[in-house]
Amino acid sequence: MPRRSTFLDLAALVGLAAVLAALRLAAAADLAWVADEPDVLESCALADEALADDPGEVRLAGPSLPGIAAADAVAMVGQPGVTFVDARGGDRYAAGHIPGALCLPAADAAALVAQQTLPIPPDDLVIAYCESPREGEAQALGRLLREHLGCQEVRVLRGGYDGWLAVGGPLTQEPERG
Amino acid sequence: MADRAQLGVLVAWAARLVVAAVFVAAAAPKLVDPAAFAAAIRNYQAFPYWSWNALAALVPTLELVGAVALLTPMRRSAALLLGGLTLAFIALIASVIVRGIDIGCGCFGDATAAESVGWPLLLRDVALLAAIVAAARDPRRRASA
Repeated sequence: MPRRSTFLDLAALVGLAAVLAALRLAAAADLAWVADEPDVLESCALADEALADDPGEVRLAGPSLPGIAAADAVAMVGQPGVTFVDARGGDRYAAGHIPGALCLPAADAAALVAQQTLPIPPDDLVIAYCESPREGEAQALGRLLREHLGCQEVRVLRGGYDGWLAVGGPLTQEPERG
Repeated sequence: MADRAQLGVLVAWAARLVVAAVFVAAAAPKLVDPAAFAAAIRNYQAFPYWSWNALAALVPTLELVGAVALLTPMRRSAALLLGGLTLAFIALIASVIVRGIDIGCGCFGDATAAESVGWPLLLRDVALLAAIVAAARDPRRRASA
């Protein structure tokens, strides 16, 4: 059995780690944490910037896209005629995404518009998602797909990736198909 | 028997060095980019929203402090700390396997972002736990007993 001093030392080590962690948190206060809103605002700004390159009445003029509840969208994973589109960017896509989703950050979408190429069948129901409940990035991407690339039916995942996690939706790390 | 005792000391020291190196390597990228580790923690779907950032800061400091202390006379306490962490990792990995979700482990930061949580990872952590036990043992006391 470990001696009493072992546990006292253990408590001291944990205390030291906690102090260091607090210092690290304080030092990283301006960091774009995944749970913080500024991160989302930054992503949305990126999306807006990408769309601004496009001669665009689209960006904020069109009506908001309809949403789809995460619980309903879960049943559509892998269904024919449904395409999920991940607007979050390559790193986060690689760390985990909705199975079968296309990785389509806003900047890439702007390039698609320029080339008028579309990796999605136009008749598919497109479900766009980004990081958070604010959905700004997914809205921007979804509108671009609808207005400029001919997708007929585009919806935005309500609650974004957070909402998907909240309902325990399936995740994968498989690389993008095709 | 002196040779055996010396061998025991060598093995224990080797285990301490290896375990310390593993945990330093695990802690460094998380300390450099805690936001990425917070994102990995979130994917485990096992922790509440408010705890992601705190865990992303605390886990690597626990790893670092434990790794350094393992090379000091406090090694038994350090082994308890690192062993507890590794047991928690094993439980978490098992829960991911049971739930059937496919996520990146986040264990060593972005360098192995593509490394999936699954059986190989579980076995690796069990091996790590064995090394921690070896590092905590005191071969001199055993030899003299």
